[in-house]
Amino acid sequence: MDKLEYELVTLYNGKQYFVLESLMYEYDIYDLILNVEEENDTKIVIQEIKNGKTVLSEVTDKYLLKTLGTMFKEKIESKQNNIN
Amino acid sequence: MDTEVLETNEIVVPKELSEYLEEDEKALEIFNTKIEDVVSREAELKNEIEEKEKEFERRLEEFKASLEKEKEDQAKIFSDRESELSKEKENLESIKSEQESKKQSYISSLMNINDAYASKMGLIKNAIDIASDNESLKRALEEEQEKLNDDLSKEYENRKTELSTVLESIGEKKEEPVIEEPKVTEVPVEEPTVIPTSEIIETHDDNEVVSHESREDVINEIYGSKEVMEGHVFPYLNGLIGE
Repeated sequence: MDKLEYELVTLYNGKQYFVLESLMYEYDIYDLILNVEEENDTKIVIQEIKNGKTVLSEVTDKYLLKTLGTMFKEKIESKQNNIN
Repeated sequence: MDTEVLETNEIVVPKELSEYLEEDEKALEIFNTKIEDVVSREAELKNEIEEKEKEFERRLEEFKASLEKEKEDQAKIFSDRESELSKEKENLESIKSEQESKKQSYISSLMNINDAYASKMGLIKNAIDIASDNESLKRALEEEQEKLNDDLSKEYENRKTELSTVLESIGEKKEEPVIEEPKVTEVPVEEPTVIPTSEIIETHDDNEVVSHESREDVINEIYGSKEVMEGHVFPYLNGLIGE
């Protein structure tokens, strides 16, 4: 599976996203992505392998989103502190 | 001397002539007897011919009846055989259909295993990369990777045996497809050693990643952009957390 952190990814439907952060949670890899054309379109997606190809599927489970949101926020804040 | 002629009805036949006539009479009787014999023989022969003709007719009728019966029997045998062959054909079609279904199910099952394997291997490899500075965690993940490879190897052997058994049961042993045994030594992240299922069925998902390029510089700019981070990213995360 490709490591997509800090990458500009292009999906099969033509949409492009910046992968701001990636993290692993319970053996799955999740990405925080930002739409290139619509800046307010931010999502948390899970990386999956289908037919041998990497697919990004939006996470919809509210409990999981809360957990991942917390983890991403901590990671980004930590990184911002280091930059500053 | 006077001659007196006396009238008489008596015919005087000379003796020789009488004997001759008697012989002639006998000859005539013999002829008559012979003629009667010939007539009788002719009648017998006529009867005999008629009998033979009747016998011939009877045997001809018998032969024709026997031929007709044999024809009917053969037609019945042919019809029965045709019916058996039709049933056999239907049976074979059914087996073929069933085997085709099993084959599709088998391929689908292999694809699922393949996907699950590729996914897990990718996760473990990424985890190893992330944990490169933590030797004990890295070792544990490498052990997990090795265990997964062993499991896949065993699964491969099981599936191979199962496939072989199925093919033997339908008499297609010689046509057994060759399945490449997955390598169990090293699994690079970029190119998993398992056969990509995309080679079997070419499908695309709208959210499939078709290309990616490193843009760490841009991401850093985004990190530095208050408009993006404070305006969109953090509000989104805070919304999830419920803050």
